[in-house]
Amino acid sequence: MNFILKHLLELRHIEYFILAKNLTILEVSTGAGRFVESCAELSLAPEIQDLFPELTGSETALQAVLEGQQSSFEIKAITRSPHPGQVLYFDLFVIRASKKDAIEGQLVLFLEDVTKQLELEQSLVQNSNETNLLLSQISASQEYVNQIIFSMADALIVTQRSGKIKTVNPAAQALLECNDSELIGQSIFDVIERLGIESEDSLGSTETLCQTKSGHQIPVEVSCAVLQTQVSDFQGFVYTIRDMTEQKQAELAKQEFLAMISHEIRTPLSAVIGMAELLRNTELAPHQQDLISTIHSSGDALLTILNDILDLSKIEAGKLELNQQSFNLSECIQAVVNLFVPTAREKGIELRFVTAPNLPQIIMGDSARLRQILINLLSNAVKFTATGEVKLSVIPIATTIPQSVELQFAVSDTGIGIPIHRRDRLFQSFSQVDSSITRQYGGTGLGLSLCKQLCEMMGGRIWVESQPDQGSTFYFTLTTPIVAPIALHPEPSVPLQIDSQMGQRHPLRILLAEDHAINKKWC
Amino acid sequence: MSADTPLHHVCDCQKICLIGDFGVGKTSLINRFVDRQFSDQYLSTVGVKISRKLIEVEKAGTPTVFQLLIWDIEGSTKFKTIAPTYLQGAKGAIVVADVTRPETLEHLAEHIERFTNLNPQGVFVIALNKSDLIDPEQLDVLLKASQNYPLSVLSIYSTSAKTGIHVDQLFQTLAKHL
Repeated sequence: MNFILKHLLELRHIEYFILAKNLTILEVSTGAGRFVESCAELSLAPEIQDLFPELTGSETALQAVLEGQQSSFEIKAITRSPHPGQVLYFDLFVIRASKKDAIEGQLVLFLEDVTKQLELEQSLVQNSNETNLLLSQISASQEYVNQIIFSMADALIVTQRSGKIKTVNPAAQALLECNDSELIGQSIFDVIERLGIESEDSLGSTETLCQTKSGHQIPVEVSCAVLQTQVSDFQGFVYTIRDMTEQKQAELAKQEFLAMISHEIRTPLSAVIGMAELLRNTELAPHQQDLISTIHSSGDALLTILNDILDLSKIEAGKLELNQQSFNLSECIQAVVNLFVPTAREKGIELRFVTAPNLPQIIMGDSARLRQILINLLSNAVKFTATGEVKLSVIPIATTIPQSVELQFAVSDTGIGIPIHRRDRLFQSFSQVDSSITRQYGGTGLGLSLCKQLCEMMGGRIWVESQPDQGSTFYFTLTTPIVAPIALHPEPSVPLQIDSQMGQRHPLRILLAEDHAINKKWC
Repeated sequence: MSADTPLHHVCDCQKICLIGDFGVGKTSLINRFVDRQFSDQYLSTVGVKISRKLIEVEKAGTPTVFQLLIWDIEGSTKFKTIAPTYLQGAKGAIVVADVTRPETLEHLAEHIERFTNLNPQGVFVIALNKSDLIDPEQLDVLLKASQNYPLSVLSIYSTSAKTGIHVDQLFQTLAKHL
């Protein structure tokens, strides 16, 4: 290669190799060594591919250059790492020496250091690629969230703080019978009734009605949460709206069914019990008395179960209301205890009521529901105790509420007890300690569930402590206002006996309106 | 070798390329296979870098040892496709996609086509990389959906340069068919 050209190449930091037709090295510039692969040794390499593995597989292209079919061949931006952390980029291009050159017909391989340009390019590509990867991640997560929102079965509406609708999902459009352009910008208060959001504390879920485009009103359950994003400082609310039409229909059907049970079952059952009572007061042979007693007690048991079911349903529907009347606490408890005296005596177990000296005489509450809880607990205690005693005690506990007292009741027995792993199920509906209990002792498993619900309604709680084969103690509490003692009519401690002869002794004209044939007979 | 010997280099080297969109993990797969290393840091490749790895495969029942010349080629982007001179003379390619980016999966066929146009006899294996980042259930769906490729695609692997899963098999399968 002539002197001027060599000098020019040196100035441009371009190195070269002159190659024979078979790619063996004929001449090499002084600085070319830094471009070869680090593991190769320049002096020992017989062929150019040993120094530049990048040319492996390019023999056909080099042949084409050599034969003049192709003017040049190039591989750009080849990377070398001469030392750890150091990068060298270079372009490689091959041409055929022309006829005017002294080396005519030979290949010349030029190597140009492009590290500076490529480092700049690497930095640009890095930034661009990182941005694109970030965008791709954002799009993917946005698509994920959109998919969730758009495939939700419940309607979703996002509003600004003012209530102006910003986003709706397809379920919301279907529910309200509007497309998104009709809804966006409108106030949510125009489509959903009674959405009073006074403060952020009042958020939660509520049942209300929504107004469809065709003028229908649909019962809905609306849940609302505050939405606050850092991006664009957006503040607003997100509403999820569930169509409650089917649930309401089911609820209505259930209520109708319960009303039907109440009327169609309780009425004839009351007639059975009433007739049995009337029959018991007539002259009967002893074995007939036994039969009537069985009819009466079975009817009573059935009525209790039915009443428990109806009570639970009422509580579930939020329709059970508690009476608030003053009553004598000790008398109420004693009356319940008296109910179990005959059974306890028959079983040979002791039944005791232990009262505390500072127990308030008169309290305010629902005596019937308190009686119901006590009957349930005492009935279980007597039922599951073969020997020993059943004890009912009540103690007052001071409360922070003025003029109020918390009463803690305890019904303890020396019965079969409850294994620890079965205690969780006790207060669930239709759940007994063991299914064998139902077979041996009877019962529906409704009583304790009802007690729990009633205690909670009365501001108290219920729990149990028990040792298997030693006995159980059921505790419950209720909080009640204390009433100044006044003379109250004593409640009858035993059920009144029906006197079927009273009408004959005191003949009176009574107007009776009754549409039920059996009831007419009974009355 | 005399100066008149025909221009054909006799070498126990085989050129293969790793191709695919940017950021799918081509360099990481090579680093895992060649150096048994992995880095979470993303460093985009510009140009081309060659790595060598001696590999032993069984061909027709005979163990054969040769050197793989693995071309780590810069990823293609919307604005820049792979230079044909990088692909020329390669016997096969590992086509890489990132399972967390659906568009990189959609581009697999384009990469295969571009390579085949330059090397009609070329064979491929597909790497559905970063498989550790998605649910196995979702991965199964992707693998089942990735079946409509030409016969030159020898196999499809769900890989992870991070965990190393199926990385060796990926290179071994391709090497066996070169």
